[in-house]
Amino acid sequence: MTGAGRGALVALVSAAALPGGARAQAQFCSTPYYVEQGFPTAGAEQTRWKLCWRVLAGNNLVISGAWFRPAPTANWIKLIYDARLAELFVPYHAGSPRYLDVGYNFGSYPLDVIDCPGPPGVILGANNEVCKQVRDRGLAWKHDGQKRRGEELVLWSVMAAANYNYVVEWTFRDDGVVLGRLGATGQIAGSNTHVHGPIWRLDLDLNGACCDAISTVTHSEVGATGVDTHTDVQIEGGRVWSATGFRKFAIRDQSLVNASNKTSHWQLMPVVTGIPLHQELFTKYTGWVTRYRWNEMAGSQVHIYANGESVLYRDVVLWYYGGLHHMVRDEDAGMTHLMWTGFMLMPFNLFGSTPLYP
Amino acid sequence: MSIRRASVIVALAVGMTAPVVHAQAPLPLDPLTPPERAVAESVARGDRRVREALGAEAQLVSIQFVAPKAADAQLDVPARRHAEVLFFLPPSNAGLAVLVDLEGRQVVDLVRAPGESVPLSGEEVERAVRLALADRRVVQLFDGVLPGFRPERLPPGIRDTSHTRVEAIRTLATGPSDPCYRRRCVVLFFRVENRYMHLNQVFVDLISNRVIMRTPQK
Repeated sequence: MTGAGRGALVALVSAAALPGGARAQAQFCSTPYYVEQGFPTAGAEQTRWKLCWRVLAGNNLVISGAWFRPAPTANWIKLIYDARLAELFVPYHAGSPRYLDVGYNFGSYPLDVIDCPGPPGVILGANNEVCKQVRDRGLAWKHDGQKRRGEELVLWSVMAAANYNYVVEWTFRDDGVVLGRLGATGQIAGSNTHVHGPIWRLDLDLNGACCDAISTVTHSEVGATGVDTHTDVQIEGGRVWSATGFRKFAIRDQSLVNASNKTSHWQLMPVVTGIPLHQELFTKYTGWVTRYRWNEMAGSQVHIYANGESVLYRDVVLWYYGGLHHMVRDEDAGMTHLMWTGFMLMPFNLFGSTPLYP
Repeated sequence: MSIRRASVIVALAVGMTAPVVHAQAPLPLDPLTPPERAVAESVARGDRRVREALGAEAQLVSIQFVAPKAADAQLDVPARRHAEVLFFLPPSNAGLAVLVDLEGRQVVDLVRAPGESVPLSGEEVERAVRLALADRRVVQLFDGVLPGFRPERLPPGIRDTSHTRVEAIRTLATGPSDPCYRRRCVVLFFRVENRYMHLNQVFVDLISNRVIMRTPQK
């Protein structure tokens, strides 16, 4: 970094104390921890993400702030204060072992150009631990001759967890969608079926820390009539996920509305092949909602954190517990190919109309 | 179980003299710099209440950047930089998380945590491997001749993986009859030339310093 550049950055240290307008322009972390990406990558800009990342022992790749701008003239909207893998629980069918991989504090494995070919891939970090890619994500929409391809910014890193490598990946799409995924690969430990159960801690500060609410959105049908029910989560606790109910966990801010004056949400939708439930209390629910506490970071303790405090229009944290059911097959004998699980955070009434259209 | 610090705690010999000075000042969300890590540990260890809570056997587990929000947070990021200094307290199988204000050079909060939520320290991993390699049942797994294993210190991901080594993973107990129940157990993975041997057979309870052998899975 040039001396002038460093000076400019240092001047931003106090930006946290600035009023909203000035704050929106601030950069809260240095290169290479700061990533900013506008979309589309060619032509006039329509949307833009900016974020900070860091890699921790155990949690691996953490998003320590993410802001989205839905239009070049719009204000930045804060979405993520801190998003991380908070535990990775791996119980085997025999009952033992029952691994806590984040709780071991595994480090990251350095990447090379085979992992992250560039351009457009760029390897980041002092230990080459993060791959940044900006890539085509396929069709965004299509109707007959009208069509558009989408793009996404992807950051990923690898947790070296003994016989397994876990890919911890965060994707920020041009349409405001965020994807959190965990991929498992490596060498199996015996032929026993097991579950890789990641629990993510999502401290989502939509439009700032204050006054967020989380609701469950559940579809049901009586006769031929379907209905979607929104139920606010009033106090800390766990919530089950329902496949037949297309259940979502929606976060909203008390004051954030779109151009049509509708309340804006981001909705968490599990991307699953099944839901793991084990004897450990922290695995009893797919979704947990807790009040923010600086020290409440361990996924294996979320059932203790959820002790009945009010969470409606507070600074809330959403926890999502997913899983991969790994039935060992002969194809795993040498090396297990990557398997994925995760979730999608999708904007709902953030844009006033279809983004990236026409 | 929590000791919440409501206000400024202590003036320390290492602190209160001047703010932390950096050759290149970090931005609010940057990872900790080496000088900040040193300050964090020094401030934490220098705090009277932390010292009293730690006792003689405490182990330093980690020092990490943390961005605590104020109760009425209206800012995008905290106005000051903080670190969490995490200790493990073996006698009580508990953790102690110490929140240090790096600019004020003071402890602003300390919270006890269940041992289950405290990651393993490098010292614990090395001890588990030492205990296992000294156990004749483990030696017998290798026909009486150990292949020159080295314990894998944290973080394992940034070093050469081709050497003969022992890795470990934290594990929970199956139930109350499991010797690891409410203990601090690891499973050891013996890696020789990038192949794993005798997986899920050797467990070590780091509270009793006991090696537990399990029947290999089919």
